[in-house]
Amino acid sequence: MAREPNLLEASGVVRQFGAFTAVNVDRFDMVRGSITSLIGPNGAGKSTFFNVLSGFMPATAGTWSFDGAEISHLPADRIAKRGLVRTFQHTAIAPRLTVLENVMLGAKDTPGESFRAAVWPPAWKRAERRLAEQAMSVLDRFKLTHLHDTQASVLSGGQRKLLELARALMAEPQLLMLDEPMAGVNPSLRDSLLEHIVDVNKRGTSVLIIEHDMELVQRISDHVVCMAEGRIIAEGSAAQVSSNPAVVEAYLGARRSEAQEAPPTGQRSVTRADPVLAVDDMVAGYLPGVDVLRGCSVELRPAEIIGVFGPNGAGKSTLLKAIFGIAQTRRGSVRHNGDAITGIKGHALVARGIGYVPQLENVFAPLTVLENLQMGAFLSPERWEDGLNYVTELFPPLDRLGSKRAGDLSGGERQIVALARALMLRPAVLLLDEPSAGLSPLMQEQVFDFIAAIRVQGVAVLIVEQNARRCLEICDRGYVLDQGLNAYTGTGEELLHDERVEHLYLGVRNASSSPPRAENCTSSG
Amino acid sequence: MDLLNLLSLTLRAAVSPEAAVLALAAVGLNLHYGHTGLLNFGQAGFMMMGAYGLAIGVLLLGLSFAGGVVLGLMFAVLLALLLGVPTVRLRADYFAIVSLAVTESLRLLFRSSWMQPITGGVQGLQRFGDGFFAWNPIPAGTYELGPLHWNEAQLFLCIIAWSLVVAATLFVRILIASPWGRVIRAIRDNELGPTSLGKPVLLYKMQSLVIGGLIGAVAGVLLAVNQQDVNPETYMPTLTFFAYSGLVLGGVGRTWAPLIGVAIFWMVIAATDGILAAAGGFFPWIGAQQIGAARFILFGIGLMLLVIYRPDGLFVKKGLQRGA
Repeated sequence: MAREPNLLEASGVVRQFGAFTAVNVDRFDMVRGSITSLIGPNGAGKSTFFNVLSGFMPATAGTWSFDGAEISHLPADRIAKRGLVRTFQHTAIAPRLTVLENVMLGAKDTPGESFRAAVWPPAWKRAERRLAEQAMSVLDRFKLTHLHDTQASVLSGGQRKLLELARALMAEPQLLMLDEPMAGVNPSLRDSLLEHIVDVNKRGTSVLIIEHDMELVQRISDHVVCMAEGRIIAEGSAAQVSSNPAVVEAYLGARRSEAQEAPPTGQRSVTRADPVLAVDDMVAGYLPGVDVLRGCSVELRPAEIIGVFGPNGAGKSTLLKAIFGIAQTRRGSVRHNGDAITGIKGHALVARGIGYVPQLENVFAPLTVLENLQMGAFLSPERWEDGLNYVTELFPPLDRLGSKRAGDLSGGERQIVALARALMLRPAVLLLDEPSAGLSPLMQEQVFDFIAAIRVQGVAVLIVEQNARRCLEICDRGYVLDQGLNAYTGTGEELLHDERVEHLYLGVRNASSSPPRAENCTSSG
Repeated sequence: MDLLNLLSLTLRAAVSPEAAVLALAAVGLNLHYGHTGLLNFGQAGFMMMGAYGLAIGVLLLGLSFAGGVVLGLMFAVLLALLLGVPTVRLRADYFAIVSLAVTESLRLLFRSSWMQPITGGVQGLQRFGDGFFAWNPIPAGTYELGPLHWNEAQLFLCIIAWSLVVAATLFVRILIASPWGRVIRAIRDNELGPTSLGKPVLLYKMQSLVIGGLIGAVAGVLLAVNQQDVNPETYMPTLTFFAYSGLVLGGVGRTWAPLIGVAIFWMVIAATDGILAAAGGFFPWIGAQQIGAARFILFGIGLMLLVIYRPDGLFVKKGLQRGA
C-alpha cells in the first residue's frame, strides 16, 4: 500500500533563548488526515515548537515543509494563507468586534479586504452577504447563533475557545493547530469542543493539538508525540506513549535508584500544631467568570514542607498566587496564624513574614546578586546584615556570586538567589512555585537539598512542583489537585507510592473510570 | 463680560477654521488610534508636511495651488513610509515615542538655518494661498448668521474646511464598515488573530498610517491657507495633543467623535479664556500670561476627570462599551 505523504515535516528545528535551548527537535512528521497530539510537562517547549512551525517565532535553526513546500522562512500570515491555521492558548479573538464579525474575519480571499475594493462598497456588498450567511451556519454548528450580534468581549473563556475554533474553520485550513483548546474551558463545554474537533477531522482537516488532559488525548488521538526539555522523547499510540518509562519520568521525575543515599531529611511525623497558613474552600481565578481554583483547601503547619501537585492547569500556581494576593480570590479564606489575610496584597504579606518565589522571572536580571538580596530586605533595611548572614549560611554558593549580575547566572543559581532573597527577612512561611523547573537533574538535587535545609530553620514551606517524585521525598505531606479541586492528600511517603497520582498525570484511569475527584473531593486536611 | 457675549464667543470658536483643522487632524487620528490601535503622536508632523508641501510647491517650484496640495500629500506619504516601515511592527507605546521623535526632529530640521533657503527657517513661508481664494465663487461682502459673521474669504474657507471634515468622516466610516475595516479593527484588538488567519498585518497598518496621515496633511493645508503662513512653531507636539483631546472628548473610535469632540474642545478653551479674562477684572494678579496657563491647567484637570469617569467619551457611560 502506498504510504500517505506527510502533511507536515520538520527536521533539525532548534529555538534558543540566549543560552537556553527551548526546542531541539531532530525530526517531526505529521500524517495527513490524522489527529496528532503533542504532550509533555510544563516547559517542555510544546508551545514554542508550535510558534516556530506556524511562523510566529523565528527558529534558531531547522527547516520544515507543509504540504510538500518549504515554509521555514515564510512569515506567519503567509503560512496561514497556505492552509496552516492555528489557535492560541490565550485566545486571540477580537473582543470589540461582534461574534459574527470575528467569524467573518476568518474567511480567506474576502473581496472587500483590499483597500482599493473597500472604498467602493458595491464591489463587495454581495459577497459580504454570502459570507455572513456562511458564517452564521458555522456559528449554528457551534451553537453560538444567538450571540452573533454581541461583542465578543462578553463571551466566557469556553465560548471564546469555540469562537476561535469556528473562526479558524472559516479559513478552510488543511491543518488546524490547536494550542491547549481545553485550557480554562468549563467541563460542561469540554465534550462539545471535543466533538467539534473530531468532527472537523472527519471533514478532512488534519489536527495537531497541544493538550494536557491525557484522558482527552487518548480519546481522540491517532498519534501522540511527547516532548520534554525541548526534545521529542516518545511517540506512538496514546497507550504506548503513556506507558513509556521516559514519559512517566518526564512527568513525575525519576525514581531514585536503590544505590543512591537516602533522602537528606527523613520524613517526619505529621505535627499537630496549629496551622500557620490555612486555605479554606478557595475559589479563585483571573478572567471574570473563569474559576481556576474551584474550592481547594490546604493547611501548612510550622516547620512543615507541603507539596502541591497535579497535572497542568490543575490550579497549583493559582493557589500560590491567590494566597499572595495576585490572583483574585472569589470565595473561601486564607488565614495566617489565625488572622484572615484573604486578598491582602503581597507586599503586606511579606511584612507579615510570608515569602513568595514566583515560577518565572524570579530575579532582577540587571541587578547584581547582592543588590537582589538588598531588594529582599527592602522593607526593613536595618535587618540587612542579619539577613545576609542567615542566607549565606543556608546557601554557601552565594559567597562567590555576590557581585555577579543575576541575569548572567545559570537557572539553578538564579533559583538560589530567588530563594535567598525571599528569606532575607526570615519569613515563617515560604511559598515556592516550581523551584526545580528548567533545571538540570544535578541542580534540581541541590535545590531540593536547600529547601530541606530551610525547613530545619523552622520555616514552613509550601511548594508547587511538577517533579512530584523528587519533591515528595522532602515533603511531610502533599496535596494533589485536579481541575481546581483537592483530589488526594496524604503523607509524602503515601503519595510517593500511590498509583492513582501517576494515573492523574498520565490518564491511565482505573477500570471503573469514574473521575477521582468525585470520590475524593473532601479528603483534605 | 455678560453671558450672551460669552456664548457668541464660544460659538464662533466652535465653527472657526481652526476647529475644522483640528477636527480633520482628529479624523486621521481616529483612524490611526481609534480603529487601528496605532498610537500616532506625530500627527502635527503630517500636518506640517501638507502645509510645507503646499508652500514650497507654490513659492519655490511655481506650481499651481492644486499642484502644491498634491506635493504636500506626497510629502505626507513619504513621512508615513519613513515613520512606518521601520517602526509599525513595534508595540503601540514604542511607535508613539518614535512618531513623536521623528516628527519633532523634522520640525527642528525645517526650522534650521541650513534649510532656510527652502523652508524659510524660523521665518517660515508666507502668501502662497492666493490660488485657493481665487476659486472663491462667493461675492464680496459681509455675511452674518446670528452672532457669527464672516467676510467672503472667511466664509469660503469655513465652508470648504467643514465640508472636508464631514467628507473625511464619512470616508473613514465607509472604510471602517468595510471588510478592510474589519481587519483593521481586529488588528487593533489583537494582532495575533488576523495574522493567524493569513492577513498581512503590517500592510494593513501601513495603509492605515498613510490614509490617516493624508487626512492630517489636508488639515495642515487648511491651516496654512487660513493663516497664509507656514511656520515651524505652529507644528509643535501640542497641536497633536489638542487633536487627541478633542478625540477623547468625543469618544475614541466613534464616527463623529473628532468633529463633535474638537468643537467642544475649542468652545471650552474659548469659554475658559473669556471667564478667566473676566475674572482678571476682579483679581488683578491674574494677568494675560496667567490666563493662558490657567486655562490649560483647568482643561488638563477636566481631561483627567474625563478619562477616569467617561473613558469612552462624554456621551458614553462608563463600562457600556468597554471591551475586555
